[in-house]
Amino acid sequence: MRRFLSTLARRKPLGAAGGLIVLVLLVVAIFADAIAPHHFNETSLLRAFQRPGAAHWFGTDELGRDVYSRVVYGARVSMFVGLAATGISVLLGGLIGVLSGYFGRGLDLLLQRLVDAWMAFPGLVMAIVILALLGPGLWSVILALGVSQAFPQSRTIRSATLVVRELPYVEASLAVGASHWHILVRHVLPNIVAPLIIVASNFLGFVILIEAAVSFLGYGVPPPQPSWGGMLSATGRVYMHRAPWLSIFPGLALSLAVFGFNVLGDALRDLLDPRLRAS
Amino acid sequence: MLPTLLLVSVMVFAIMRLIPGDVVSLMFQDLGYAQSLAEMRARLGLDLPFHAQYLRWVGEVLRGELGQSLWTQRDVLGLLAERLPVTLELALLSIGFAVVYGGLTGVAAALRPDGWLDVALRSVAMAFLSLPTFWLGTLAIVLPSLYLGWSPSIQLVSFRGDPWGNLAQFLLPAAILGTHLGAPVMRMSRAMMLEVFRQDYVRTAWAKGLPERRVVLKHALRNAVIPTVTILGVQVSQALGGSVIMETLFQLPGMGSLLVEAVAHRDFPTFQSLVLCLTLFVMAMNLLVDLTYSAIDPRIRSGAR
Repeated sequence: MRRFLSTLARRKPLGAAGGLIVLVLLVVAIFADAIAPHHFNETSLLRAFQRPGAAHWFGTDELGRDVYSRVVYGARVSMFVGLAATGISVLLGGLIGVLSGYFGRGLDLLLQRLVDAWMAFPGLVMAIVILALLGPGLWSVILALGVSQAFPQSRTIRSATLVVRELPYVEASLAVGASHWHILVRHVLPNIVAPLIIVASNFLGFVILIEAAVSFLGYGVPPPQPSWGGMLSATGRVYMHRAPWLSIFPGLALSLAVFGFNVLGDALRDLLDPRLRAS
Repeated sequence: MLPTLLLVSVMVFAIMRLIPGDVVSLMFQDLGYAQSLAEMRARLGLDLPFHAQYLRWVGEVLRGELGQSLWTQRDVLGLLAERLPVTLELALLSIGFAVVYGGLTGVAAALRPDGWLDVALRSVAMAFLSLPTFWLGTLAIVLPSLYLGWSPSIQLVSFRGDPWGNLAQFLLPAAILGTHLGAPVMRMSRAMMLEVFRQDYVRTAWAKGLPERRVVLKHALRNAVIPTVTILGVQVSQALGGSVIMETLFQLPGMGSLLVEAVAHRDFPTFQSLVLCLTLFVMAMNLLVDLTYSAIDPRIRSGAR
């Protein structure tokens, strides 16, 4: 692990910087209670719309809530939704991909047509559809994002599984009478860990962006829980002329998070799988 | 194509049936869409067995009967026809922007890998990939109005009445969406150019002493374009998702903003037809990408036969 980190820092300085951003955001998300000077919902109409300054670094919103504190707490929502939705999506996508790639034939044909159909729905539209069905809530958002993106993910895992399936040692295992379960766990799984990590890390930035987008459209995590996309939507848009800082700071935090995950994902892909480097 | 179309139709159909019955009753109570639960179910076509509902729905769609909007009481087909051109224009303009921006910068970056231009263009692409389009859009509306006193028009300028005004209105949202869509195009075309540069025939072209312009444009670019075209299919679906946001932000009356309204009002006939329409559009564009692909690469055409 230490050797991997030093390789990352030496060969991919930008990726390492991305990793650092991600690490800082994780710490901020976990220790938000200690880091934020105010509670995210501490209102005081007397200090509404204060400009960014010494008392309130990022200013205050229309209810006098400290924008800095809300951005800090917003990291919690973004990180949690991002990680949980990615987890669901990678597990579900991985399962579909492995089953489709390993067993092939009719199952593969059926699953791949399903993936085709699913992918015809624009991702954001599918997420909105699922959210409209589930109703608002933190777990609805996680489920909607995780499920709506699982099918496209399965493609990468399927092709990785297809490669493993044809390897001589898998054939040898089958020949000596190993069960499919044994082969899947002992041979296929270790070989798809790298593509799974790559898919997951590239995906995190995308999920955080989509989470913010659905929050922006009003289908995200319901208030008063602050999320970056929600802050940009509700208050940011109504008061954007009067108080541009309401839009600027959550947007910066969001961009930074997505940037961190994106460059980290790229670096991980290059280091873990040289074959994928070209694409 | 056909099995996918069938599956897509079943999925779009299932969307409405996935709503539990009590939601239907809630809907007519809260929004006053019907007098009674039975009437509501009949209006939504939920009173028949599942397969009969599906067949009836497919028949209606094929005849162009998409039902009536619960919210506005208008014919859904007319509503779609009104909103479609706005979304089409926005999506096509932004994809055009993405192709021009992504293609040019991708090729330029590949000419001197790891040179200053390459690093700069790659960083810009990464930034565009990370910046949320709705945030860029918000800033593009707020900042000029704060400092220059300029803000985009809220009224839709019709193309027929004022083509330049109409293009000017779409330029900003299309460019913002286009930079986001163009970043993967840039990365892909750069990677493909580098791949092609390693091939023997390109080395031969250099060795023959051909000028750089000829090697790049005639020998390398043609072959690098082919794989790059394939990601445009994915970009179309992204462009439609992105246009939902851009239409909401820039108050353009397209299908995206209609979708947001329809979901908010639980207007399921509108909602269902919209999702069907958007999905069919994605499928049609993917077919077009496949056809383009075989048109520019004869090897695929002969392989398919």
